[in-house]
Amino acid sequence: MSAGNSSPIQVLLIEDDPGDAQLLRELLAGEKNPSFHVRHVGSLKEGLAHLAVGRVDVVLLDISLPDSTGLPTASRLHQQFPLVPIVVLTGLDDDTVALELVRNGAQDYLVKGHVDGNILSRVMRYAIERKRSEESLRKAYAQLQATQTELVQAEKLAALGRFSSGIAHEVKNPLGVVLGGVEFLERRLSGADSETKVALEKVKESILRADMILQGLLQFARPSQPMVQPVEVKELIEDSLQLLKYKGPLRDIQVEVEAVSAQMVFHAEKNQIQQVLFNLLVNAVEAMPQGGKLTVRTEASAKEICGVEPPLCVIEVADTGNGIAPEDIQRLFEPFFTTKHDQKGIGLGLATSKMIVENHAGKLVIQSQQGKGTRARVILPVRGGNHGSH
Amino acid sequence: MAVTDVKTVLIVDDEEDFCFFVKENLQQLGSYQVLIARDGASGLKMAKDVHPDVILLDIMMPRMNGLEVLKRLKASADTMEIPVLMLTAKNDAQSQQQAAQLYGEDYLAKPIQADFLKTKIEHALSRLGR
Repeated sequence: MSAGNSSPIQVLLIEDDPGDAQLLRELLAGEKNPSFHVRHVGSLKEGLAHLAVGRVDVVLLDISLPDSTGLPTASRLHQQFPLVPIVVLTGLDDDTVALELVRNGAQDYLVKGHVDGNILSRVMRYAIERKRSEESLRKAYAQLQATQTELVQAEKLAALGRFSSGIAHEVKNPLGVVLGGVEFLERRLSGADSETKVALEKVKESILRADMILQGLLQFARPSQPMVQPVEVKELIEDSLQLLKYKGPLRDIQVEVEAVSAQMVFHAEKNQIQQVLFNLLVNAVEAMPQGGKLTVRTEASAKEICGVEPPLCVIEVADTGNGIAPEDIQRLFEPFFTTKHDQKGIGLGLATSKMIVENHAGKLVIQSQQGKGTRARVILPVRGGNHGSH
Repeated sequence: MAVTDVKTVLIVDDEEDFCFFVKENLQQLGSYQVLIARDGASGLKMAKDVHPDVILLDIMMPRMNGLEVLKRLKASADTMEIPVLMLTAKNDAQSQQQAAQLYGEDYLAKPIQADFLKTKIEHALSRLGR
């Protein structure tokens, strides 16, 4: 923008009367500091075409043009080029018209024959500055609205977090009793018929599912900063697979663990990473209802992977299941999005897992091919990290 | 089976029903003798008198909470070596951090499956060479 510096102000004059146009050029030719460079066109159509390709700091617009007359002239130009200030020139001397023009996008209104070079220069310079201020205000307002929305959302989540932690104890304790009772019955009724055993198994699955939902809600509503400690990868994987087996039988699923070194250690909040790993294992199992192969492998890396700083530890969970549809891949980490259509999930698992991994300065990457399977990789810095992002 | 093969587990938790099932399930799963203390004060006394192999400790208890019990266990020469696994419905980072700072061996969330609890107990015992 030229106002306030030595470059000429670029003016687009849209005026069909050559005499009026020449008069305006002469008025502006005498103005210096700033000076004005005037480009003249005779119709609104030519004016719009020029605005589309050339730099224009301000438009001087006659509202009585051969291809457009009256108030819609200014509003049409403003709609197509909202960032360009418009000063309307007209033969009319009507405050009502002036007000309507300003409402329709013009910055100011001048009556022909009642202006000199000084007034014309000043009005155009002020129009440019007002437009600039208007744009700054609009952006600030948009930012304020966005911040307000975020704050409202954050407060909702904080309130949910406070409420959730309050009920967690009340719900988790009786869940503990119910689970203990079911396991007690499982052992006492080890000789019972298969229907009884299946019934008990289903009750146990539901308890664990209820607990996972509760945990997911708590974690999502009030994400906790990781309490970093050394974590042995081998023990982490063994515990997670053990937990997976207790969740339910792995019917026709072959489990393989590859390349896990007993010396591989990284620094993280163990319970949180275990939650992530367990979630990935459960997803893998549920993707193979007809059976398949579940592979867990690890790798150490001295090179950066996906923006995570080395040295790294990568834990990969791969299945040979149904895979994920391409249109669903983009949405995997959205809260409450789920591809499980049998009430098995409420869609917080991957959103929470991603949040946990990123809180550890890591990355969770999922690749999938429909009909072939899915591979989920948890990439974590060995030394631990805390981005605290959510 | 030799008496020395039986491990003594002390549960300190005010939830009677929970304690009942943990005791029954653990004793079914392995060679455990499970004792129960219903509050922090009796838990401390029983820990000193019996010297269990491992303690399972709840946090949310009336009068003396589990973190205070843990602090006193680790402050006493008689009980400081006993591994303590927090077993609690209060699963928040601040409590976990406090427990770790007080040298709690592990932090487990309720509800918990008996097999998994047994695994965690065995891990704790093997780490300490018991």
